[in-house]
Amino acid sequence: MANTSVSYKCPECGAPLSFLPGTNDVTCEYCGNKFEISVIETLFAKEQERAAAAEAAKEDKWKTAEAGEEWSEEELAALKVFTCSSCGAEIVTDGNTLATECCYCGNPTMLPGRFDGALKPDYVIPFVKTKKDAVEALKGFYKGKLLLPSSFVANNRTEDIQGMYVPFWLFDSTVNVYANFKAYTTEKYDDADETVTETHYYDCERFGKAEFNNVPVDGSVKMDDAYMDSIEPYDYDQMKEFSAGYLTGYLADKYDVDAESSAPRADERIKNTMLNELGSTLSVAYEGYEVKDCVVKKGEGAVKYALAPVWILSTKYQGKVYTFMMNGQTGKLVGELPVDKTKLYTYCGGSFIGVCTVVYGVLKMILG
Amino acid sequence: MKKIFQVITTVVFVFCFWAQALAAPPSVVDSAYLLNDQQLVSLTKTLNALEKKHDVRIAVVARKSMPTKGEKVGEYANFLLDKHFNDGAKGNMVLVLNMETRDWYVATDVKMKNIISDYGIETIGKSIVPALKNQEYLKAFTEYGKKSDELITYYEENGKPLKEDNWLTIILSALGAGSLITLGAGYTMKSSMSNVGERQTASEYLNQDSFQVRETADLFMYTDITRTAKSKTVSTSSADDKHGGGGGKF
Repeated sequence: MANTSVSYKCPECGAPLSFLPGTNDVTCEYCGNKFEISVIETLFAKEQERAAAAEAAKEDKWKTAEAGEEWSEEELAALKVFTCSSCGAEIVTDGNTLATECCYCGNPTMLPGRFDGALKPDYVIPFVKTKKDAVEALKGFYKGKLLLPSSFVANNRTEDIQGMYVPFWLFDSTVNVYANFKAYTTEKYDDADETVTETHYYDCERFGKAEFNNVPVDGSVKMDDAYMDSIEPYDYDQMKEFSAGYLTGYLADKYDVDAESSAPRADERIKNTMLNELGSTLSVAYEGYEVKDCVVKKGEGAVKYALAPVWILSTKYQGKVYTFMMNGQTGKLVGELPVDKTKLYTYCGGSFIGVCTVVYGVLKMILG
Repeated sequence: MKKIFQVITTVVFVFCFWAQALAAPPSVVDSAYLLNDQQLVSLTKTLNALEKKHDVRIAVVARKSMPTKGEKVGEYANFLLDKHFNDGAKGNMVLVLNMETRDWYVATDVKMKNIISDYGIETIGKSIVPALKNQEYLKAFTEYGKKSDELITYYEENGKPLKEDNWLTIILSALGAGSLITLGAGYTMKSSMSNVGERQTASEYLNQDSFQVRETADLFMYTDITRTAKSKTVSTSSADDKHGGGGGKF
């Protein structure tokens, strides 16, 4: 049976190759040989073509079998079966997987048919941080958290750590924004019996223009938007032309939210930024303002499809899974920790009694 | 002999005149003519008795207006205290009325400031203002003397000035501050457990050099006026390191 997936194996010893974070090389962990990304790409280009052809042939065959199977069309569309080039096992993935590892032999596996045509990412931001960095960052994240349950730290076993390339859309845009604000100034003075406050209201029009580059919006339904927003920003100076070589050894998904559907999130962030910028021009002359109306007119824009590195760490505590994500380039780690309610009540109770006692003592001294 | 007698008489006269000029003014100076002669004598007698009892000076000055236009009654009261009513061994105080602006002010010197607290001045104010409003000036001045006597006596008996019994305010303030700070600390501690949140802006991706404000137009629309009545309580605006006291309107 022809392989429908490609494993990047060391040309010398045949062991799996992994991309080495922070370098431009792919390394064999067994014999120590290093290969440039471009070399690996050339080496495996033909193999990828063959695997893609085999996958296409299998798709044809698969379609003919559809009529007699129990799977619904949606299920068939969602699940894809590939053959591991290392052990021959069948790997079932969802429709978005670009790179994974064989669940039987652990071999890093590429699914090349997924890179074709419009599906091929324009750029990739390579991993710089290693798995070890991710574990260290998580330990650092625990530090200074007064409400963290002691048993969470003591019994903590990170259950799963995975490096994953997450699909992102990067929006470039020149925007013209027409904004209408209601601003005010106040004047306060005393007459014989009253304090008079005069608030003067103004209608303020502002028209501004600006250029935004690489506003990221993740193109994956699986990835929580809040987590993806929180690990920003990435350093785009380190962004490379896409090569599948960077993906070896990591998981990678293709987008399942297209650029069209992702655009409103970028638009909203751009609009809010422009309102802040235009609003800041009011702060010089006015004491406060509120936005009354806003029209955003987009000029020329471009969208790029990029894969960004994310370390995903998960751990279980009292039956609940806690997920942490780290920017695989900058090392910024985000997540939500459990709260020890006993500690919370103890600290709050102690603080309440302490503050009350001190304030009582001070006031008694001044007023008593 | 006749000449010598004339010289001696002249010297005695000059000395008496000089002594009188140097002597402190009486405790009641009513240049606004609020009291009749009988009331003036009676009030002077009352205040003198209190002054003797406590070895202090408790004076009253009523004026049609301030000697200098625009001068604050509190500043004038402090001036009087420093220049004229400063002979009380244990402390000095003066009540000044400005009938033009209907201001009253009780000024105290450093010693009297330790005897009569701000709360004491407030107490005096509360006891004299109703009578001043009713133009019952003798009653107001007598009340001033009576309250001053009570406050000084309290100090002599307790070694500390009379202060407001504000335990409830203190306890409520302590509980309020405790609750606020605890809520704030609890919120901060809980917030620190998560750093996940959606971003609403894209300021990191704005090319700052490209930002231009191309048009601005500001138009005045309207003015809202809010009036808040001033507190009628005692103002201590003229109090400083050397003087205490406070005053208000009547």
